[in-house]
Amino acid sequence: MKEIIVFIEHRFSEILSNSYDALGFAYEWQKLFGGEISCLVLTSEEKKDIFSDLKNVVNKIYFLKNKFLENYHPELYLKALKDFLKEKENYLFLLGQTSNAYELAPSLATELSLPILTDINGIEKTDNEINFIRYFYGGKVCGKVEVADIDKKSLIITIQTGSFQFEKREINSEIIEKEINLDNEKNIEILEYKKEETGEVDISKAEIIIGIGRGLRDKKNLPIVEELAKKLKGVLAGSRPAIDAGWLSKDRQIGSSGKTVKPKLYLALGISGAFQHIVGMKNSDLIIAINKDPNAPIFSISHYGIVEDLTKIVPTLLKKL
Amino acid sequence: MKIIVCLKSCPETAESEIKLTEDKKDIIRDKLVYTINEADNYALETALVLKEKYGGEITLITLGDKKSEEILRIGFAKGADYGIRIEEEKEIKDPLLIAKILATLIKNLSFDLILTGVTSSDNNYGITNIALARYLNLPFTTLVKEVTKEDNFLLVVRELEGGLIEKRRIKIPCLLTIQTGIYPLRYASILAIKRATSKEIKLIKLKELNLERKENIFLKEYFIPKSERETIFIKGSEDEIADSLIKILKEKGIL
Repeated sequence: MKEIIVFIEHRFSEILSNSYDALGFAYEWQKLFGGEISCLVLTSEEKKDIFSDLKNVVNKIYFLKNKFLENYHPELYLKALKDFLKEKENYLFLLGQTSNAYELAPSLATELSLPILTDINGIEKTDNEINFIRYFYGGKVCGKVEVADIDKKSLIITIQTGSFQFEKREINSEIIEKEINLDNEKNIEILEYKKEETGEVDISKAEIIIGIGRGLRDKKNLPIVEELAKKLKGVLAGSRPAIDAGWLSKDRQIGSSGKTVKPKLYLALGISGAFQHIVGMKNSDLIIAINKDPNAPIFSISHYGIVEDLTKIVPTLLKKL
Repeated sequence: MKIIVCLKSCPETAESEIKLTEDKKDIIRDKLVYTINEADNYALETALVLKEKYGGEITLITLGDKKSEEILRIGFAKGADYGIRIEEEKEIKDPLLIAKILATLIKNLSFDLILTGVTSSDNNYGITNIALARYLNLPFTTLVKEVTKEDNFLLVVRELEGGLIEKRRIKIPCLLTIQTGIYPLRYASILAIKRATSKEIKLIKLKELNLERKENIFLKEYFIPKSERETIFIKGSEDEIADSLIKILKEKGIL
């Protein structure tokens, strides 16, 4: 049986919600294969009290303390985690898929020579196999992935945002606090954190949102969607490709690296529906999607779907409004 | 600055319908168009901008079959100087092995900076880049959306969750993974790509790198995800669709 170790990430005195995704996966794994669950927190002494939510939900909580561990630092966190994990055998190390996990998970895997899987959203147990499930090709396809010698080997896994449920439990957690030595030599200095500037429209408060994506194809098609937004008394927003292409400003981005919205109407135009976008809008009251690809993942969460090119349907619609 | 950019050739799937092969171990690829992986294209763009600003040279590296030389030619047409292809006979799925292969080649090259995309649009593992940095013992930063040079350091801005950004100073040599959208992309004209055909691409055989080819993760099969909702599809002529849409919006009190 593997020890299940969940890495708890924190920023500005709050646990990141992604760590609860990882805890949700840990529960699922425990149901299928057993094993004790531990949380691992790297922290400075002062910030310790923000972790009270973790008490009584897992078997053990490790606090590794050092004054340089107050905030995430790629080199120092890597050193601390490596020193901790190299003493362990046959474990599962879980992280939520955060910006920092993009650094920590692969670097730990190489330091410890462990296999790694990222963005896992499901797990399946068959007679003598364990299948990990994740998206490929922008969410259009799911894949079952196997890991060699999984019985004997430790493994690092990052969990896709929002894919597992955290639940409260009543367990007596054993708390293990350890002051650790850390050499503060580093090649990277973190200078500051900043909120990105927000624009004049707050899309998270809008009741009607017209979302545009890659399917708009060209900036010259912008006027038709702008006019539609105007006629429906809504605001224009978009998925990452629409922002990257420069069609809309960054404050109008919906999804895991943008805003989360819950309008009365979300009209998705030419948005394929990668999960990074879907997590930001799937709780909208009414979702209508227009996309050329009948298998676009956006349809799987839409109330109504139209398999068409938006640049044909929108002008027809405008004439009738 | 001597910059290495790692590029992957990926099929364009965002706007096309994907179907699985009969054994479900792959997607049907014959009709798909291959090009530079989206995030890698932004890494290439960043290299071109840095070269214009600070001088230097750009070497492109890819791992793939003969067809993937096309992406190196696109890179040449945009202004990259050298290209290396590591010959891959059979697709390698384990990103850690890919990182090891790249590291074995790159450790013998001289460079100040390695740039890659944040992740690939096909497998979306986001592992190869940082694993490569660690195999070469380089400092790294992911999700970079701004970069400038200051003496022997780079000042970078990286993207965190919920509209938060982080500023860092990182020592050269290092590896950065570039987030999409960092700069507007330039386009290579067909003529410029054609002209680049005569440019030499250095070919390295996987065997020459003397590596044990051991993969630890395996794709068992693909499946098409189930729909979470019973979506009602509106069909008909463009006129009929527009009428149905207006009717729905009226029923729901939006119009």
